[in-house]
Order: sequence, then structure tokens, then C-alpha cells
Amino acid sequence: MKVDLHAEQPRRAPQPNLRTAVGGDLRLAGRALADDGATARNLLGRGLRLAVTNRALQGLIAYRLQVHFAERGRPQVSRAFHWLAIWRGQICIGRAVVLEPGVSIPEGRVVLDGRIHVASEVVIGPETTLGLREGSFAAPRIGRGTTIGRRVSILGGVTIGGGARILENSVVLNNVAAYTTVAGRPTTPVISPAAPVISPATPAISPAAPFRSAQQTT
Amino acid sequence: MFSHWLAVLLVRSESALERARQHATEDDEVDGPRRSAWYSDRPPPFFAAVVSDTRRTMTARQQHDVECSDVDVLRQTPRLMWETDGLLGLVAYRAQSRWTSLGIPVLPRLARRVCSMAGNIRIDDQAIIEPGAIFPHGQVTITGATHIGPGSSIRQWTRIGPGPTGDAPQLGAVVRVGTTSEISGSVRVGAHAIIGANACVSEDVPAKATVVGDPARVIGMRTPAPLGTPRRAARPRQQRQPDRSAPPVPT
Repeated sequence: MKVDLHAEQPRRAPQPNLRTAVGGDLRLAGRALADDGATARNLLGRGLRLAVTNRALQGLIAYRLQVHFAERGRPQVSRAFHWLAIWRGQICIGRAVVLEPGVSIPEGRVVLDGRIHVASEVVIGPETTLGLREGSFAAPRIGRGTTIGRRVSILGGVTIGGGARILENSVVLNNVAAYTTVAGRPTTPVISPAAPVISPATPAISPAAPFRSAQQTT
Repeated sequence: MFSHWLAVLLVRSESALERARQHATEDDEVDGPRRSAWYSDRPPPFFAAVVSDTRRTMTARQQHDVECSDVDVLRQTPRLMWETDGLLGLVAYRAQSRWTSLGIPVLPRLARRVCSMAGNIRIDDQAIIEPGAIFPHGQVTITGATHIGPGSSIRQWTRIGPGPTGDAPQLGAVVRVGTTSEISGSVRVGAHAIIGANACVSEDVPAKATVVGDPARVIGMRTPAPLGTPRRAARPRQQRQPDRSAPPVPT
């Protein structure tokens, strides 16, 4: 397969800065623990306490540091944090990926590579792959509040609308509309937006359940 | 002493690569899966395997120069172990299988720990992986007496191992296993087969076939270029960047 590495590539979105990103991740993790309308400061503390024991969260923070040092032109330090993320949370994320602040990877075990854009409040389940298909650099874009189940592969230049749900063991090769639930290999809609389970009025899906199960297992 | 060791290493890796090439060309002419005479019951020699694996990694990164000598490749190995996700674990596995076959007691277990920490690659001692394998992102579980042919690429979250009957899968040369797929039971996968993402393979796969789904079904056959054909002309090696600390030359 011929891939021209020197071809013009679209510019990716800027990486979020370290403080915002880690703060967003910890707050989301804290809110997932108990969605009781706590203040942002309380949520941050809760997230920090969670990070003491939760390896996936440690991996995610290591990934944020990896991005931080890569942006500041320290590739070897960045690489060291990449290995730390792999070791702690089995989180393996390439340098072209943009994760907006407040992404939840409750059980770790994800591989993301290519120019992927992941919006905030996305929950990514374990043993998930987001990546490229052979012969193209087009990468997935994941909308806000999407939930991705376990053992899902999202490959190629796919756009997933906000609030979608991807059930486990599916392969996403086509676009997914917002607030749709999809499953299968390749995926087909199970619940179409005509009868949404998650109403567009609800702000975001609470990732409470996967977090609790992660706590029980570890 | 060093030159002797180097000579032994070069001869070994030459012969291993030669056998791998022969095997691949032989299998090109065969339609169905089969157990080739090349399959051995012993793990491949350590340095030959590491050289082949590094070459495979360099090819995947489009950095491979075909004329590059084995010593040059070995010099690149530590760098690639640091920069890529899969090679460190793979080399640790090679050490594990080598030390196991030598009967050394503790070291294989340590290598296995390194292997599973660096990229979460878990490979049993009975499994045999021929030289030239690549795990692009690590995260691979291979159990039992699985046999994986030379030049295979195994992507993340795959499980390859014996089913309830205890017979392990046999993968041919240059097989590409997609993400999150599962190969279990006494399955033979022919050379140059492609296994798609999330496929569950529990029956034999013919050579050069592309399979997807659960249970896996054939959706296409392909005609690959023979092993060793460069995909594109090797790019000239990048020139060293000029020293930035040196004062600029006035023009």
C-alpha cells in the first residue's frame, strides 16, 4: 500500500494545556464516583484521591504529561511518560491524537493512534482501538458525550456524533449520527435517534457505572 | 572474541532469513493451508530473531534500507525498543524463550515480567514465534503451543491460543492479524492471510484470504508481492542536522 508521507496533511486542533486537561479529567472522574452536584473544587479533590489507587487514571495523567512535554519540545521525556502510561494504565496514545479536557478511560486498556480528535466527556471502555485503516490518514472524530463500550474498534475517517453509544464488540467503519446506539461488525443502528434513549435534553451521559465496576475489580 | 561472536551471529541470522524467504516463496505457490516442513519445534536463535524483528519494525516505519547490514540493524535495536511500543516486549519475549530453552531458572520469569509491563505482551513458553514478527502497539496475548510464522504482524487486543480441546493454532508466514481478533482452537491460517478487526477465527483460513466477522468468513483473496520486495524505493538517509550552537556563517 503506497502512502505518501510527504503529502499535505490538515492541521490538527491544538493540544489542551496540561492544567486544564488534568483538571478536567480529575473532575470527570470525581463526578463519576458520585454525581451529587459537588463543587468543582470538591470534585478535583475526589479525583485526586481516586488517582492514588486507580491505575487507569494514573495512566491518563501520564498521557497528559506526555503531551505536555511533546509540545514543549522534549521528545525523550515525552516518550518516558508514554511508557509510564502504558505501564500504569495500558493506555497507548500516539502523539497526533487530541483528547480534549475531561475524557474518561475508566479501566485503561486503550490504543489510540493517528489524528484522532476526542471531545470532552467521552467514555472509552477497555480493549478499545481507535485508529487508521490501511492506505489513508483519515482518523476518527468522536463527538461530545459519546460512550464507547469494551472491545470496540473504530477505524478510518469516521465521524461519531455527540451522545452516541457504541455497544461492545463492534467495529465502526461508517459515520454514526448523534444520540444513536450502534452495534455489530460493521455497526448498524440499534436504536435510532427517532426514539432516543438518551434524550438530547440531558446534558451528558453519566459514566458512573463503569467507574464503580472498575473500583470493584481493582 | 567479539569478532567470533559477530561471525556466528551473522551466519545464523543469514540462514534464518534465507529460510524465511524460501518458506514464503514456497507458500506462495500453495492454495490451501498446510504445515510446512520449515516449521520447527524450537524457538529461533535469539540474535537472528531480533535482527529480523528490528528489520520488520524499520520497514513498518518506512526507515528500512534493504542493504543495511545486520550489525547496523542491531545498532538501531535499542533506539527502536525505546521509540516503538512493541519491539521492547518482543525482544524481552525472545530473551524469555531463549533462556527457557537453555534451562536457566529465574531469568525467563523476569523477562516475562518486562514483556508484560512493556506493552502488555504475554506469550507462553511453549509458543513459537518465527523471526520477523511485529506487534505494532503491543497488547497481545498468545497462549499454549501456538506457532506463528515469519513476518507476521499482530495488532493490539488479540488473543491467540488453544481452545477447549487443547490444540493450538498454527499461523503461516506473513499473516496479518487485525485488532481485537481472536484465534482459538486447532486452526491453520494460511500464508499471507489477513484477519480483520474483531474477527473470531475458529476454522481454517486459506492462504491469501481476508476474513472478517464472528465466525470468520472469507470476503476476499489477494495477490501479494513476494516477501522482500520493497514497497517503495528506499529514501536516502537523513543528513545530520547542522550544529545549532555553531555561529551562523555570514553570507
